[in-house]
Amino acid sequence: MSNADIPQEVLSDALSKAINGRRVRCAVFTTFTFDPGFFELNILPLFFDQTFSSSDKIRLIQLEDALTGSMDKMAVYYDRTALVQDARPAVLDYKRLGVRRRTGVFHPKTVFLLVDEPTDNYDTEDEDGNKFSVPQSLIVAVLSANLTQSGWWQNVECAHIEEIKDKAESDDRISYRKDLLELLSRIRSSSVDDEPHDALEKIRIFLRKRAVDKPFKKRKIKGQYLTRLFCGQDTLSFPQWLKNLRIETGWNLEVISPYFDKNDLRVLLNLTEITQPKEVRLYLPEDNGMALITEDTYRKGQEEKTVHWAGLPEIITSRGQSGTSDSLLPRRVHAKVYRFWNRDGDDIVITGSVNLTSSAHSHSGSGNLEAAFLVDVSNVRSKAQWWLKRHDGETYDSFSDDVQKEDDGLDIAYLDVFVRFDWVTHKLVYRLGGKNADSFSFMDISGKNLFSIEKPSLNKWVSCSRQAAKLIESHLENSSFVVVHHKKGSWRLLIQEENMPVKPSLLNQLSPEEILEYWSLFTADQKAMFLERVLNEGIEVDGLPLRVTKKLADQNTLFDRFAGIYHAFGSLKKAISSALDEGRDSAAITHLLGAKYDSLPTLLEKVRNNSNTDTVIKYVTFLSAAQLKKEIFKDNKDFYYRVKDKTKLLDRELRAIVQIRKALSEELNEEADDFLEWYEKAFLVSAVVREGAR
Amino acid sequence: MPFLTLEDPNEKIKGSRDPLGIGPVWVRFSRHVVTNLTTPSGSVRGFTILILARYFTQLLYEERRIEKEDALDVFLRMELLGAYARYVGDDSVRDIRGIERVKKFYREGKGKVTIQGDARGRILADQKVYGLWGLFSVPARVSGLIPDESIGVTPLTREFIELNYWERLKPVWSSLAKMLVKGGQLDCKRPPEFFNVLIDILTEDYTASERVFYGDIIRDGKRVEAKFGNSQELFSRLLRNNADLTIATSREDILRIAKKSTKQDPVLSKSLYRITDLEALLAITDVLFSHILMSNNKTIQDVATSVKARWGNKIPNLSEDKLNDLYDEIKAATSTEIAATIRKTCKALISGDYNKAIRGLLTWNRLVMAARSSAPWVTTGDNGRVNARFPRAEHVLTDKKDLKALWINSYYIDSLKAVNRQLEGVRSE
Repeated sequence: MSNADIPQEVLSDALSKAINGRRVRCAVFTTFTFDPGFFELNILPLFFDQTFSSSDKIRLIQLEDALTGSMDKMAVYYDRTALVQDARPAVLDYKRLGVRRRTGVFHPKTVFLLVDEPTDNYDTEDEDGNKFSVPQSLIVAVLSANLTQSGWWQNVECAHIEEIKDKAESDDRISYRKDLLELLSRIRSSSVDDEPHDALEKIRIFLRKRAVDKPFKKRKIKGQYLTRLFCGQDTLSFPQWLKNLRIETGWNLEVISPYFDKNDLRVLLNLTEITQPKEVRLYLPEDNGMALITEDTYRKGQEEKTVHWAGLPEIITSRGQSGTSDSLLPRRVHAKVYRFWNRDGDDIVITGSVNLTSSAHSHSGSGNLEAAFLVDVSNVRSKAQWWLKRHDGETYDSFSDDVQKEDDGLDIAYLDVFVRFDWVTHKLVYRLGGKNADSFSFMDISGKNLFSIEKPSLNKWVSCSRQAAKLIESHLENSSFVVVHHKKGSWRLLIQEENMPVKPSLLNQLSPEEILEYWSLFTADQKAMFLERVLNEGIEVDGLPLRVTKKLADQNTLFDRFAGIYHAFGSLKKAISSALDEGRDSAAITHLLGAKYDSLPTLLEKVRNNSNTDTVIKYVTFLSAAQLKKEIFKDNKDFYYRVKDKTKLLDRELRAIVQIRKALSEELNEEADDFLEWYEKAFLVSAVVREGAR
Repeated sequence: MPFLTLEDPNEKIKGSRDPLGIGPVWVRFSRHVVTNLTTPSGSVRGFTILILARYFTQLLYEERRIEKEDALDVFLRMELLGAYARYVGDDSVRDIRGIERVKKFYREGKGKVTIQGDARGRILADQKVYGLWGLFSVPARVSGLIPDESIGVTPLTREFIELNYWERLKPVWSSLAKMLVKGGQLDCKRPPEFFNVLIDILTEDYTASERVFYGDIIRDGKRVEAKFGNSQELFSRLLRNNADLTIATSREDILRIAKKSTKQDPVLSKSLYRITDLEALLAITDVLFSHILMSNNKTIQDVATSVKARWGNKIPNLSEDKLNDLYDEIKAATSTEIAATIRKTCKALISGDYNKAIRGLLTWNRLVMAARSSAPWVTTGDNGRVNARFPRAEHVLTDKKDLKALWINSYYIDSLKAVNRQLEGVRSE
């Protein structure tokens, strides 16, 4: 059999194809192991239809901008005990929710993307009064790949992608809608009680309100099984779930799973008891000639008459021609696939996170939380053939001493501790779950002690000292990881950051004129290219200078003159209004109240501190800012009430108007005070453009 | 449809997680001999498509048919046209970025393909970043083919295009321009005339004037303002005459050329000898570190003993003098602390003290990972045993007999070989 008979795709390509250039408005990811740095630099760009720099430093800044400008909500749920060891810290603004389950591990690898459908003249409202200006679709990908480099780029993984259309666009029924809602509910209940789940909630609302909700009464339509999703629902184990679906018996079964229980194949036998396959081919994980299962497991497989150890074709597992060494080992198989098929062309594939282990096959209340799609591909696939090739005649004499586990190599977290820092209140809080109130301390990644918690309180959020908060605030400017040290050992922890729009920006080197010019750019691509142009000085990629362009001159650009200032403020107002219209508070906060490189307070601070800026320009800039604030809050009173505790930065800057006016008054003649008083009042009243006027 | 995943093409470009941070070190040394190329930019026709795309963009802008902000879209359409033209012209060509999708779209559409740089037609998941725009622009700019602006080419390139390509393109410019501005469907089996012209231009056979132009600019880097001097022309010539262009770089190749160039260009010769000295260190430490990762739960001494049993007391090609000569540049590419650790590790290897060398490697990895705010890949637990977080390694422990010729990193010499090979008309298997 050729590899063409096994469907294969590059994961990023498949997801890009599914997105198909549509704007992603909301994204939720779940993963067991998590590498935030890889995710941000190499997976996140797939969700924006714009250019990104080859320089990681510039790319992060462009991504920071893209997230603010384009996406409403994004969250990553990961198992708190499973941070990848060489992971790079998170730097961008999205929810990172570390999950720790009471039983098993948090194991589903899923992607939920809510995308806008390009359309005109669409305005609708759901029964709760939520307004929608465009129809949306939900892309659901269920994978075996974690959000890590090995998961997305290297391993042999499996995936299946589905799309659910807005009911305004399609009346197709969705056989797995209820399953998805169950999964979302389980994801939510796996995390800390009071955690906000805005992104997950948006996905849930879509499924509840905007997806067709007529259930199917049958498990099959026209002889084909309906697509379903397993997540340990209804306290059903994996085999019981299959039994409930009344999967036909007597077919062939092949199983790809990198992990097994120790010395035990009971999980497989439970499965075969229900499905009664004619023949079973079981993928034998191996590494450089060694079987990565115990000898006992291997023998037990051999003792079963219908079970045969097998392997994937070499062409699937071999690495590309890197040109570096012939001794490269094959790609690691991390896919989890259960395929039931027969010679008549019936073919059902179950793909996702479910390993051939008892914790994966349990219902979600007693084992792991898992996710896998069941898809009937009988009408798609033409050749009824095995994917796996039997290891007939091959014997193994080298076995793993112990069972291989998914969490091999990961830190052991001896305490269920969770830490949050809020950039608005500058408060640091921790929450220690469980019953063990042992003392513990926090260190930076190099092992330097930051502070200790000697007598922790259990199962509630506790504020840390102001000094500890200050230490973490300064630490967060370099890394979002801390090391927790407990008497039994140390492990890394990702700090949950709240209100990140007011966190100091990754970039703080734009001149006031550049900020104004940046506000005036229209498209994401223009903004990305502008950033690349102004930031490239001194940056090298592969030892070559990115560019040799000089930075824009700070003087004599349109943007140090009045017309440019008014134009830029007009553009900023549009951007804020549009963000508010789309319900993107976070973007509006970033623009108006934040501490990012192009936030209004940042501009004001730079203008105020620039001794070369003409006082009149300073004055007009500050008045424009005051006018903008007034108009935005006047037009969006709800927004004002939502953010009134976050206006500190902007208010502090705007207070400088008094000094600037005083300085200007001193530069002008004696009657300047009266003039400026009149001017300021007149300025802060927005001009009304009469119809027909240009 | 459920599917198994293929290895991501980006893995080859930026894949290595580089636990010892050796990438920046060899990159720095490579820039003494290869001044303008990177790993993915070893395709001359890639540069041809890039300069044509930028030339067309400039023309369309001058004709007021596009604005500057449309430059990227036009560029991407030309990249697609170029890729399909090359594939249709010669389906054995392998150095097309996005070749898998080119083949797939061509096959699925029975020759009808979409020319759009967005989701409808792109041949790479992220065409802008991992296509010619993202990966060839910097080498082209450094080489002097294009200016810093987002459109247009340098006067030299413009002159070359107008002398060599424009005469054939001019009669079909109207229909080509339309496709570039708006995109659309292209039937490669019943193609418009402009597509045939592109096939003709983008053939794998180079004209004499192309050989001279690309030879000067890309292969010999004559217009590069090199950081460390520029001996690329001579190096290229010596590669052509003294190395097999169809296989990956070997220690033997580089030593031979270093020797040959001693009189003609002592600076080049010294740079090449230094690369062989550096590679002797980097390759062996890479292999040894991989071996440590495969030695979970063993004591450092056990690992050291097993390595000694395999490699003996002496590692070939390492010496303290060579190390001292490399030291300052290693420091410039890393940090004082990491360079000092590299020095200690190397000295331990020279003296056959594998226990010390392994400990040095663990410190080296810890320092590199700390600079990335990440945890070390491997530590020793309280019991003194290896605790490898990535127990599966990329390489198997090399045999003693292979140590002498061990060569892992490319130093962009493979890209330079590829350029030489294409301009010489040598086909690789």
